[in-house]
Amino acid sequence: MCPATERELGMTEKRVLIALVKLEGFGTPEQIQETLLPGDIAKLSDNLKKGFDSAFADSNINVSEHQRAMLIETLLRDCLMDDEKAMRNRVMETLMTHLSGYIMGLDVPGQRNTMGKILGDTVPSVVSSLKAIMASEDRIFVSQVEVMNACSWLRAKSLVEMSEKLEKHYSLLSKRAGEMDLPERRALKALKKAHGSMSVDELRKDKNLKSEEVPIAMGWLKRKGWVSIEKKANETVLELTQDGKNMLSKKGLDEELIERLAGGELHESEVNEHTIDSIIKRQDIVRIREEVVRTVIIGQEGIDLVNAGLDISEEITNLTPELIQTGKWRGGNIRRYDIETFAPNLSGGKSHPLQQYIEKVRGIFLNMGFMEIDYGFVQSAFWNMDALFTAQDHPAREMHDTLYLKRPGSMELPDSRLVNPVKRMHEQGDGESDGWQYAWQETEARKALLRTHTTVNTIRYLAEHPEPPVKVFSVGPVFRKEAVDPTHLPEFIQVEGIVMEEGANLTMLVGLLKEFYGRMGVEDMRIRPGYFPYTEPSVEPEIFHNGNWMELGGAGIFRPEVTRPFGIKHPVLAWGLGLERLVMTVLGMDDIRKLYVSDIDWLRESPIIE
Amino acid sequence: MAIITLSYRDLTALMGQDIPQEELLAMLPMLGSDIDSVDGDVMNVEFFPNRPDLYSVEGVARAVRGFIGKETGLANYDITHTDNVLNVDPSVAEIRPFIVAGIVRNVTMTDELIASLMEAQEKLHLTLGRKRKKVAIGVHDMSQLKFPFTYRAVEPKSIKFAPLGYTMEMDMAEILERHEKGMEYASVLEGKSLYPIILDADGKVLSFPPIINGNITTVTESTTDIFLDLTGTDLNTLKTALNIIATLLAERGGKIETVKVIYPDNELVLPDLAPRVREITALEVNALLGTDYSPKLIAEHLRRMRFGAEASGDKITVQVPGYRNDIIHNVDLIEDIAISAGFGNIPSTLPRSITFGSERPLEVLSNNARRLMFGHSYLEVKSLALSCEKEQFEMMHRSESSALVKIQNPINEYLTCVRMTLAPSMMMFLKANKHRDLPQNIFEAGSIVSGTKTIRHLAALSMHSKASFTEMKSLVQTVLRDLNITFELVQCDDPVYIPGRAAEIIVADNSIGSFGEYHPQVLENFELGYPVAGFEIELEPPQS
Repeated sequence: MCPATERELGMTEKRVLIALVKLEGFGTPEQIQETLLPGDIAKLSDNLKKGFDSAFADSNINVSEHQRAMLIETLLRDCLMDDEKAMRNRVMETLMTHLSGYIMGLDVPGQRNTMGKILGDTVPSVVSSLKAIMASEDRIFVSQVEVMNACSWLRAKSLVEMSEKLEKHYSLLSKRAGEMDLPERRALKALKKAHGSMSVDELRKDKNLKSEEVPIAMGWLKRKGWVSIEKKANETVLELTQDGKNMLSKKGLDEELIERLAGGELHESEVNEHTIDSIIKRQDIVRIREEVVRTVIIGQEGIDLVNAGLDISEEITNLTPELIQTGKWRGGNIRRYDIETFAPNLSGGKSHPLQQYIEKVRGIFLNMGFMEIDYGFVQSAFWNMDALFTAQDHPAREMHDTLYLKRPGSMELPDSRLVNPVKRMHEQGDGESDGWQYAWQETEARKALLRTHTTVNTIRYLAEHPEPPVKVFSVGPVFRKEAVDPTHLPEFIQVEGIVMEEGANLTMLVGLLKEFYGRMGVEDMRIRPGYFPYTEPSVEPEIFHNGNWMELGGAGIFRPEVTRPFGIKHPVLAWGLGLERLVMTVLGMDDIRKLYVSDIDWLRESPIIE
Repeated sequence: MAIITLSYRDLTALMGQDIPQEELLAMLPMLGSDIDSVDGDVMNVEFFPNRPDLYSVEGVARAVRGFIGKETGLANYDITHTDNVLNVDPSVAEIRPFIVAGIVRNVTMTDELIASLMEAQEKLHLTLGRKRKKVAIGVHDMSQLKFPFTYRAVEPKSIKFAPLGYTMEMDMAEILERHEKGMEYASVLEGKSLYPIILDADGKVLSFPPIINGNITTVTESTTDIFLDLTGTDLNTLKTALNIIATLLAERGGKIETVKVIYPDNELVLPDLAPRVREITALEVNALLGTDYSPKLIAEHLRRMRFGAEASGDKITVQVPGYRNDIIHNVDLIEDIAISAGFGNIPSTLPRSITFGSERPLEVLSNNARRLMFGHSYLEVKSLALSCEKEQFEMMHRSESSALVKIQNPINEYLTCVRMTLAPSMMMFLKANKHRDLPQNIFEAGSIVSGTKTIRHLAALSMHSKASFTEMKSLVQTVLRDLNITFELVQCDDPVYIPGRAAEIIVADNSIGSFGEYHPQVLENFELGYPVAGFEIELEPPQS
């Protein structure tokens, strides 16, 4: 693999390489981290040590260096917070959790004293160290993960190597083990008192040695050559040797090591192997802790890069207001980001696809010079049907097609000047038309229902405005008694537009349809015969979509039987369509219900309609 | 919707002309139909309800022959007059007042004809016949019958006969209770104390209309002479239906004979295939179509549509065949002229009047409000205006309002009324999305109905672990400020909210809505596990 060029290196990687050179080629991640954040972490460690020393001064508790290191890592990981009060609380919690084992071991007054010291002295000093780290530009290095990530990246680029090794750390099992002389030392002191010679029986009587310690003491005295052992008569007598006399005033290597261990944990490199082994043999003095140590070793390529001079001149991570306002940004490079870094999507406000279509259609009508109208959902059968020359026994008026209302059960009819001509047209026509030839019932016309089409808006408007020109449209829900399934709902959005003017004719309707569907983005449109009860001729427009002709909506010219009773003398060109079907086709949906009880993620992710 | 099954082979045989199936399938829609499906020889085609004469392959063949110019003008059927009589007893006047009848002889009952006849009968019953209420058709083998026939109303248990498909005799009441057709159509005779019946001279039962024929007149493959009876409530429709069925049989070679139908005050000779005459001018045709067709051309188009048509000056005299009942105004003729000319050939022009577009002020306000909600990161939802009392009131802790619009014939138990507020359906939306990421901030600008009035509402819900009154108050006051609405707040005791955590919004002494934290019981009703805060207000544009 080709080693990285400087450009490919992030600031973290560069700093790690430089730290490695400083460490003379290799170091553990912890060492690298300390090199990068030298002052701050050392100070935090120092503050902790001082705090603990003072808090546990009156007890024999010793918080090991390792324990402290772990605590520092936790503090760096969990307690770096912007809000000082929150940070303070978190630090307190962390210290208490880590130290609870120690504190519980103390008697009650000792606990109180220790807690007081930790809360009063240690917490504030730790908080101030953490604050310093927060403010540091190298804050990124407080996380060892950052350092490790940088190392892994460098290794992938063959700039460093990493090795793992098991290392041993030694400490005393108990504080007492450090304070108490070794059994052979105690025996030596007894011999000195007895002027250099005593029997084993006499030694057994020494109160500084437990009976089980006597054989141990004798074994070590002999092995160390501090005494000679002789059998005299029926006694075994110990005689101090010259070596033994010499040792009266100084300590053995093992004793010196124990003294050092009493001062804290020692790494295997700090102790003599034979000496530590001899102590380990005694079983009740030393604890061994094993640790996997990763060492990062810089390669030649890495050294060359560093020697060539890596640019770390005040790289700016965050462009702070301060940097801008002071102009300091001029001095540094703004850090480059990896543009492939994951960034989550936002969930913002957006229009529902169906509503987008509604607005699109409204915009088209408005641009084409149409006025928007609406007369509400609740209508009488008179306006919804009779006024549109739909005979009272027409199947569309039956209970299985139209949603009639229980409350209100019936509606007022408009003025008889409007009702009577409609009634007459149904019953006998007007001379030009035969009418439907049946007895028209007012009760049937009074029935209240939910509008089945937006044409009810059109006819109500025309009844109020019979003089030309009229160009109006409406968009809104209409209701039919349809079972709910993937392609049907009892409620859907209908669009309708009409043009009434002197001389309006079928060619104009064709032109309007072409213009309207063209603006809807349809490639091509054609018409063929259709059937609607209140238009004649009736037209079914078909649009060309995805290589197919697809039926979309209806159109026609209002029958004279519809217009004449309201005094409308000119043809009314009308067309309409249901929006859901169009939306489903364009969006490739297979279930109309998804438009109304939508998956929120679908709404969040749906692009805006063109 | 009448979908008719056509056999391509049978249709072209009846047309007397071979025409590729693809061409035929392209042509039929231009004649006025929708192709529903095609499976080899079988074409299922939907014809429109104004053309019941096309509900059979014979009728379609007749129309297509004209459309392709093979045979144009009025279709001619020879009719032989007879003295065969059907007497109408005054007793039917209150029961099922009208009957028409006809005879067709020399019929060859092929499989195709049987299928077509049955389908035409069924589709006519369903459409023109309004499920046999307005028209019921009886087709009989008349070989066992003796004229004169009688149509009368009788006591339900007074006559026993074997209904079609049975050898066992039943009385009419038993038929309504037990026979499958009796059970299906019993409602047509509901409340009648007497039932209609058609008997021959010997008292043999032809039919118990509109329920079932007698078994004795069963049509079989060997039937050659057919008697048609049609009973119902509208004489004109009955005559048209009779003509449709009689000419269907005549298209297969049958010979039509008349029957004298003698009413107490009137005598009809049926079938009556005499065309009705209308006059139309080229002026009115061209005015409506925007064309400049000559009277001669118009007459030609009409003949292609199987009308009789002669041009004289600007006027065209049109003969409307007896099997068409849809020509009630000249515009109906004009549509047929356009169909013959080809809808695809209609040129395109534009209206001439100058008008200016204008939005409803309510939509302007509604869209302003919607845009503000987008700005506050609220996602728009749409829900149905149809709802149910349980969602609207019970689950919302509210009591039912007397202004609720209730549906008389609901589709199902979930869609029984029109909503009075938007929040319940939006709660259902949250319920459907409860496994999706929070926060969920949704809004809807939609219509509700109160009394008979349709009113626009704007509602928003915010669901997340810290949804609160304060959050909603901020939203409401900001949106209202931006909509230029001055308001005051008063305590709101709507039980949908947590007591003390809701406010009523007052504008010019009227409440326009409320906001607050939804009551945990309401949340539980909608199976929601997180707090929800929301508002709902009425949008009303200032009166201009």
